[in-house]
Amino acid sequence: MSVNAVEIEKTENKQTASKEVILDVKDLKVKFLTDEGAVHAVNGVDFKVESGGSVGILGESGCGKTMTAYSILQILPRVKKIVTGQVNFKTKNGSIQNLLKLEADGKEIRKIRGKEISMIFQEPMTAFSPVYTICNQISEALMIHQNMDKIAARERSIKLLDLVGIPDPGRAVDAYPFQLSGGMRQRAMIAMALACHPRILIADEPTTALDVTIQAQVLKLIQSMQKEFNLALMLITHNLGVIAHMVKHVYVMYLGRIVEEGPVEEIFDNPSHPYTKALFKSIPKLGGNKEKIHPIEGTVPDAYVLPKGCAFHARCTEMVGDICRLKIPGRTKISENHYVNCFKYSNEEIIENV
Amino acid sequence: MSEKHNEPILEVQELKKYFPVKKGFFRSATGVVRAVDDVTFSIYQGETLGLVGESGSGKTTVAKVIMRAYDPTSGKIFIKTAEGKRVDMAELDRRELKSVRKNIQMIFQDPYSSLNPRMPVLDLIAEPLQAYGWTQKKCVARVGELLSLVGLNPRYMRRYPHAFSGGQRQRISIARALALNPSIIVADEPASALDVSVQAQILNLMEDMQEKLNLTYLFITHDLSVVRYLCDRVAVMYAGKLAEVAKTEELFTKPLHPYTSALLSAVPDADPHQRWLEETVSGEVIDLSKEIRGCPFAPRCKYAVQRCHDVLPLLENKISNIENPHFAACHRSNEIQLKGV
Amino acid sequence: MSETEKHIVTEENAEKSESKKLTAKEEQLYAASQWRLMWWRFKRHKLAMVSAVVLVIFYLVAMFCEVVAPYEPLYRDIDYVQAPPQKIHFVDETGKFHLRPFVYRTSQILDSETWERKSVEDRSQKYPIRFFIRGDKYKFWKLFYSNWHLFGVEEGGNMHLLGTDRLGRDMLSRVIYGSRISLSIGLVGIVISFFMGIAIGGVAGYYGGVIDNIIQRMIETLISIPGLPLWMALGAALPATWPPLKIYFGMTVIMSIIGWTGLARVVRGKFLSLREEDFVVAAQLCGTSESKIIVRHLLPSFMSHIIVSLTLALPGMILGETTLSFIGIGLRPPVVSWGVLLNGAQNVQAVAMAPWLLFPALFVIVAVLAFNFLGDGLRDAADPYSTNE
Repeated sequence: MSVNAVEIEKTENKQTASKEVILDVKDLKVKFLTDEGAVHAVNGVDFKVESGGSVGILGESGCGKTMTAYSILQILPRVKKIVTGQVNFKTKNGSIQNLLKLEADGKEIRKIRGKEISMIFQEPMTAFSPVYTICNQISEALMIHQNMDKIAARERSIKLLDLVGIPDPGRAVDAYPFQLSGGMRQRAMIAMALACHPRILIADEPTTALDVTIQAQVLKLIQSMQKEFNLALMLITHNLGVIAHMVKHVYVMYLGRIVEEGPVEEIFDNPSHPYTKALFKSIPKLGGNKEKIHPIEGTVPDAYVLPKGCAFHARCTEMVGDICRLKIPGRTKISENHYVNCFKYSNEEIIENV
Repeated sequence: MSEKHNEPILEVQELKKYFPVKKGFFRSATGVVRAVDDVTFSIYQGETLGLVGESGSGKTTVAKVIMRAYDPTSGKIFIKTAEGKRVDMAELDRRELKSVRKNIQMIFQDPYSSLNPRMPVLDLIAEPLQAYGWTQKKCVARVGELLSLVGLNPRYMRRYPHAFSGGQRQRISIARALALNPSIIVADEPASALDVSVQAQILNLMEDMQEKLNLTYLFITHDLSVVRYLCDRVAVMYAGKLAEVAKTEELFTKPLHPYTSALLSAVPDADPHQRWLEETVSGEVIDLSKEIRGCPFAPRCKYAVQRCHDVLPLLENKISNIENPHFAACHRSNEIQLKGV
Repeated sequence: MSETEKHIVTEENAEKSESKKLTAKEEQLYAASQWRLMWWRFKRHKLAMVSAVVLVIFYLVAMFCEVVAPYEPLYRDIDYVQAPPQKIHFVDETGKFHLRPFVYRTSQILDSETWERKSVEDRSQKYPIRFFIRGDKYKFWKLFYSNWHLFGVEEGGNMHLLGTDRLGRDMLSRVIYGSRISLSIGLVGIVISFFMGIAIGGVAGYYGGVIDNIIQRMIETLISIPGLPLWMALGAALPATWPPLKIYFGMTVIMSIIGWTGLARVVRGKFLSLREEDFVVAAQLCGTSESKIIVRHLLPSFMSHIIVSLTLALPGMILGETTLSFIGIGLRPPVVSWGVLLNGAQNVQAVAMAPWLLFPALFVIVAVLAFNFLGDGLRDAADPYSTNE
């Protein structure tokens, strides 16, 4: 593919940019069946990703955010599991497919991976195969999805590496992953993910393992890639600072459920769910007034036995009553696009002494 | 915040640690990696000094050398022992080192690998005590005391590490470090491997312990917001050398080294209304095995002039205040205007 | 409570801060040492458990072989030379079912037409197999005389469940006696390997550098020498005039000369990797002495791997002895081992005419397989912390 073709595709994507929803996840549930019992990794998650939009999934370890991402691309661990719900994705040619219905190893899902939805991971070292060169690995995607031959794919790989800011791409393309530094590897992974112009990029803690200055470079790169290719971003992280500056809409997850969602400014200015509030209070701030930090009481419960009722009630300091222990709260609207799953805000009758 | 005594409790002078690069069948040394290159700083009783840097800066190596887990290539490490004497730890042999070590202990980063999974908590925390000849009965009592102190039920001493979460394990590590009643604790990224909300527990715990036991901390981290929260003074390292040392608030609001400023602006603050990333620092840390002339940050520094590439800047007090000096290793500190938070 | 005091936990307020009540099982799990955890994982391996039981039986038989074997190994039944195994019956010639199994008196006759040797059951003489019967006298562990046997037939009858060899000696008894030698040679061998392996491997891993280099090259040289010819050479070097016991010990030393190398490498590897672990550094910084670190931290960490290594080295030794004795270089009669027994089955003619002479091979196979399965199970259970974090 020549450079001109690349530019044409870019403008095409821009033209079709509108606020259309291209990924609609409904009531996603993932349960792993292990010897010790069932692990409820994801317990009913709903979210949407718009074309060219940016969505953040905020949560700590164990909240199920990674499993949510994996189930979209059907790369969940190969153990006994039960996956229910819908992952409706609108492909480039306009058709809508429920990705969960596709076979995990089938041809259909492989047409989606890399071509329509791409993913980058936390540890770039483990995402690359150590025995193939970068060129080999990027070209693989190009040759499969865009039917390029080896030479054309190599040319394109060099251009991609240049695009992501790797110095001396002509040489870097023939390097092995271990020869690059962490930041460079992450950039190469982004190049590999974007090679076939996917519509959505899923980034699972992409910068957690990187130094602060490198993190800044990589995140800025992601932002510029978004602009250039009208790429939708689904960013998964526990880092509040990164979420604050990279996404427009935030979903806060706890123990496999979404507890709050809203525009990023709303979430930061007006956190409503007790978990969100507690999370914000437990992190030291870089700027502004120095405030005492308050850890969240208790520990995350075992995923084997989900607490009845609201997932957070055991650690919540703002419980309204027994209802929190007994029923799972539904979605309540707080303001435009800002929803919370908490009985404190719902209009449901609070039943005492059940 | 504590008063400064005249004599520092820990003083590092011109510390160097070079690692040989071994190649070939007979592993002959073909070069050196200058992990720590001429580092000098002091810590005073009761304060928390943050040691900040990215990977390759040498901060962890500094900690390990101070603890004599590595032997320094050259330099002095003056420590005030429990009896009040000032000794150079770099000179001591194994036996003498043992008595000095009572006063300085370490907390490690990874709560999963720093506790031997095959030993129950009692043995883990009692190990330093046993090394100094405590009887079993006394150990049990002291371990119970320590567990309560760090917020764990003393009953847990029978359990093994796999029974505990990351945050709890780190508490056990802290209890172990406190066993001998040291005055100095070197904490190597104690909260980095933990979940966000658990970090707060550990940081608060460390603060409490400091107040209760009059501890002095050398706190190593890459997380600047934690530094601001916990540390009285901060030392910023880059490529094995100190770039800047100052009181925390001063360093954050009025940095005098371009690297510090770049670091501060690169950290995304948890506030979407703040501007971020107006400019990023390009490039990466230089190869530490190459001999550097001039300032190690010069290749990436946007304020660099020819002098920066030729002459190594020394760490000097750039302000007139002698009580609370602000050291920076930059030729142009007084000429350029750097942004803080 | 002030901010500081919130962290102080006493018995009273301790329970409230725990987010859940622990079941007894969980409490056990939390207080479980590494051996307990290994055992729980091991239990899940059905094959390994079965193998363990089989091996326990084998070793019990080997320990009490005088009691278990119906006959002495040198006892000759002249009526029943090179004869096939006798059949065990539950139903007699009249169709009656007996709970106690029995054998008919069997004798060998020469078929006048085919000139073949045939064994004929004399249906008139029944010999029930009894348990705990008195039979031939023996000296138990060279300590005292007794004549209790686990099972057998009464005086006058013969019971050769695995047939007899060309001298009329009961194969079953000889296999049982043979197990004592064959199974124990391996044990003595691995004890020697254990100490040599830990010592040499430990030194290599602990000191590193030049010492490590030298030891590594030495190990590599040793293992690149072809095993069988080396054994043959060493076996032939043992003077034939030595008493059987001496030869036995000579054999075990030969077995362990190469056996220790595998273990040494495992130990060295583990030492090298463990030295970098944070908890070892932590122990050093606490002031623990080097020897204590080795004993308390390093050894327990790889003890499980050592056990696995040894378990997997045992079958090698058993096969080694069997092989050498089979080709005549190892143990020789009158010593009875499985290899020696197989020596009698060396030529095709003998095997064609009396295939039951190969039974010892079956026992060797079962023992070796059992050790391998056991070793597999142990290896999988060996690192109970590998799936955690």
